[in-house]
Amino acid sequence: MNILIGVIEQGLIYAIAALGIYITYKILDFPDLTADGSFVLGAAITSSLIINGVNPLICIFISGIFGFLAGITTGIIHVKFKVRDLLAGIITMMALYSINLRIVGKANVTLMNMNDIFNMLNVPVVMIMIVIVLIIKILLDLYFKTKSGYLLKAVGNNPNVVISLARNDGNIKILGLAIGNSLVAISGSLLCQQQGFFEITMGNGVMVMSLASVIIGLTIFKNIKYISDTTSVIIGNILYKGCVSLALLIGFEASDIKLITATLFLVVLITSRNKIFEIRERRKT
Amino acid sequence: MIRLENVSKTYNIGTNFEKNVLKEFNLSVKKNDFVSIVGPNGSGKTTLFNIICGSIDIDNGKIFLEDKEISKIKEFKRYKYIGRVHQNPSVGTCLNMTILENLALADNKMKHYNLTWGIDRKKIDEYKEKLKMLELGLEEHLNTKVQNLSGGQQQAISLIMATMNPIDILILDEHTAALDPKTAEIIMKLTDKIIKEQKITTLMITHNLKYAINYGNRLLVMKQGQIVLDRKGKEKNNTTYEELIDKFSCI
Repeated sequence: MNILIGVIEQGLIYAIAALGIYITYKILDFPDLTADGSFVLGAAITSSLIINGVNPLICIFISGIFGFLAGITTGIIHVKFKVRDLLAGIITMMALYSINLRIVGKANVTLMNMNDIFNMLNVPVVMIMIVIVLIIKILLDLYFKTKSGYLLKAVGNNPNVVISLARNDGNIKILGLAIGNSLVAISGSLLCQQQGFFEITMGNGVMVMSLASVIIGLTIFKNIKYISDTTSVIIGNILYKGCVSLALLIGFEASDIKLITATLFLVVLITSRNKIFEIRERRKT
Repeated sequence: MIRLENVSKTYNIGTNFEKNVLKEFNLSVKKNDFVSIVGPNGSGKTTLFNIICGSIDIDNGKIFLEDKEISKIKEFKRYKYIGRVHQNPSVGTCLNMTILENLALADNKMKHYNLTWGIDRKKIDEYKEKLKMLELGLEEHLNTKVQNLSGGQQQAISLIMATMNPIDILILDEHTAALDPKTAEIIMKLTDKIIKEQKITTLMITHNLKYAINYGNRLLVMKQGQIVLDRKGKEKNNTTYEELIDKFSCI
């Protein structure tokens, strides 16, 4: 039971990052590796602010803002300087590694006995996370129904349409990357509050893990009409976390997690291959 | 309305594949003209359109739209005045969005894309009217994703999206070439109807010589970046299919 609750907690925290990756990868069609850096950025800012006595709730917002800026950076590198999407993300991720170390001052910091949103209220972590994830999900769903949201969907789908609407497709791409990375940073902020420590390596593989859960979620619920994409992504992430803990239960070591992640990701990619090809085809035309 | 002055464009400058597509090219199109352009592959027709729309830069010369020079204006900004329909039907629409969402996007062209609702419920009837005009039965499928439509249906939607807002000039780049003859006929008739109703200045590339003869009031034949035949008004109406074929083979 404890393990199950742990899985759901972790799943919900990482689900926010997965929603960010859903925006960059699925909607914008942009494989954004910035995430590995902006996740830690959120955690770094949160831990240093909490140590300085800032309200943990405000920390989450500030993390989101800095994630937004990280996304803009990648966007500008890609759109204005015409650097390939993957490389643009890697460049920002690299830079963020050093920046994160600067922000915190060292590679790991413990936040034990500090205030965080989970011990401020006398409510189980799961409940708090459900509320936070629901708020973010609903806001995103609403956003995708606005004019700005439509334009964001259009730019990933077919930039030509956006250009023919006399809009700068590059700027909209930058906006999408910014929103995506601000979610990833918020996720990092929540994780460091929940586990009570900051580690410079805590973001390694966030992009791949989130992407795996995005694809799991969207593939499983592809044919079910009344489940929105955002819900699929959230459930996908919890399922993904479930698979990983199951592997640990069977007897794998914690050090095997990356191997399990890679294998799981590969399996997901292969089984949902048709879907991936569909995206590629569309990109060509 | 639109005027090109001494426009030159060379691809692959400095390589063995250097190709001078347009050389000192001049063209002037009057308001409300409907110009058909025909010519063999590689004659510079599509380059001409890409230059007007700003998808590629020119090496020399000037482009004017109603006495305003647009040669230096960025591509996306030129689309304030231009509507374009491409050969490939899927270029003009967002395939994984619904018909309704696509129309709503296009409808908002000159306004702000802000945080208000993407779809204005009051306008749905208006969209349905537009779709009814196509006689393709699409008005009953507003919530269908465009990717589930046939090429002809997609092209019809593209055409509506391109002409939904007042534009100065409509660019049709072989927009019926990817369609079967019957569908092509429907789309061509629809195009003509929209152009006449809204009095849009139009440039159309086509490989269908019949369309070039039957539609529009001016006919251009291009060859190696030059205009080799230019017929207007009455003269154009008297142009015959045989004559055009003749012109094609002798050049």
